[in-house]
Order: sequence, then C-alpha cells, then structure tokens
Amino acid sequence: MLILNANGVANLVSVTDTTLNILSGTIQSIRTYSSFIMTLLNSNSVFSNLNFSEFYPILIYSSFSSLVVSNCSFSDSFEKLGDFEVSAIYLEYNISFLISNCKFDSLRNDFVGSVNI
Amino acid sequence: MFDSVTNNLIEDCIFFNNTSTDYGGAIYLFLPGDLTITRCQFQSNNATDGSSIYYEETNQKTLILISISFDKNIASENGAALYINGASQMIIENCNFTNNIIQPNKKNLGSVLFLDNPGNLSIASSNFESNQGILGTCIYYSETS
Repeated sequence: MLILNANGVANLVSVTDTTLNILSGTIQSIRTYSSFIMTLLNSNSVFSNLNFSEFYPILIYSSFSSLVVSNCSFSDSFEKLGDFEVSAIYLEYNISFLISNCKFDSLRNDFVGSVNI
Repeated sequence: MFDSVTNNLIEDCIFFNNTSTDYGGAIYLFLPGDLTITRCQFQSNNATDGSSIYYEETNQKTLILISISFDKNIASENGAALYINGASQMIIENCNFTNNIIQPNKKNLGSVLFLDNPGNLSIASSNFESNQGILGTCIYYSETS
C-alpha cells in the first residue's frame, strides 16, 4: 500500500520511454510548482486501485503513450492557486487509453475539465 | 514503447459535482479521435458550455455514447449535458437526460444537447425528461458548412 503526502514537491513522477504501474494506494495533498504532478511520455502505464485527493494543478499528464486508469477515485482538487490549469487526467498527442470504473468527485477545474483529452 | 490503439474507451465511471470555469465541467474533449463512453453517470456538473461533456473535433472521427445518465447538470450558457462542435459521426443510444438546466437567457441554446455540425447523428432508445431552458429545449441542432 502506497500512502503519500507530497505537499510542495516540484514534480512527483516524470517518466519517459518506460513502463510504470502504480497498483494500489492513497495519494493526497499534492501541490506542485510545475504544470503537471505526474508526467508520462512515450510510456505504457497502469494506475489501478488508487485514491487521489487534494491536488493541484494537473494530476496525470500523458502524451505519445498508452494509459489504463481503473478503479481509481479523484476528489477535491484545489481551486486554481496560480498560473496552471487544474485537471485530474490530461491526455494529448497520440494517446491510447482506457478509463474504467473510476469516480471523479467535486473537482474544481480551470477551463479544462476533470478529464481532458 | 507506444502501441497505438484505435478504440479509446471510458466506461463505468461516475462524474459528480465537478465544475469548470469555462468548458466541460466533467470531460473536455479537443480532437480526441474515435471515442466510446459507456455505462457512466454524469450528475450535478457545472460549466459555461457542456457541463458534462464538451467535444470539439475537426477530423473524421466518431463519438459513441451508450447507456449513460445525465442528471441535474447546469450550464450557464449552452448544453447542460453535451456541447458538440464537429464530428463525422455521433451515436447516442440508451441514454437518460433528466433535470438538466441552462440559464434562462434567450441567447442560451440546448438545455440538454447543443449540437453544431455533429455529422451523421443517431439518437435511439433515449429519454429526455424535466430539462429546462428557453430556446432549443431539449436539443439545439445546427449545421453550417
């Protein structure tokens, strides 16, 4: 079980050209000072059985990648605090994805929606 | 590393009480490619346009919505459930649209669906009940070249 309180980190996860699986845990109270909390580039990733809460700005950003997000909950994003957009999942540029059995609850987004594709 | 898959999918998800200051309170889709959304619930989401789903596409792509409930979503302008701008094909099947509201302004259109150039459109086996707006209740449709 992963339990992470990561207030104030610069960038929680940044991966390129790899496989990343995070399969169980609670990640809460995350505020970073970059555009994305987790950045996945040209990677195959699985996020499963995770609870995310209290985050700012974009939680998961992925491009040129495949992504599976299943059995996850996303709740209580922070209001816009600075210059960055807020979103739970932001996907762009040649992405293949499956988002399954997830709950998006009480997210306060600036422009881009809880899920942005 | 990247292995492209053509059928992107959102299934069995709940979107509740999400808010966007502009477009797509729950989901914002800009050039998403072919996409299927099925067996999801959108409830009490808020935005200016497309409180549940905002969709914008300029390529020949298909959006499929099957077995989805849209309930109590509120848009301050257009499309409390869906705001669609461009698609080559759109399929809505077995969906329930209930209690969705846009602000009562004569400039606001489509309390449930705001459809601008949705392409080949099919709506089947779906329920529209107790939605509120002034113009285009429940569906506003326009097609411009």
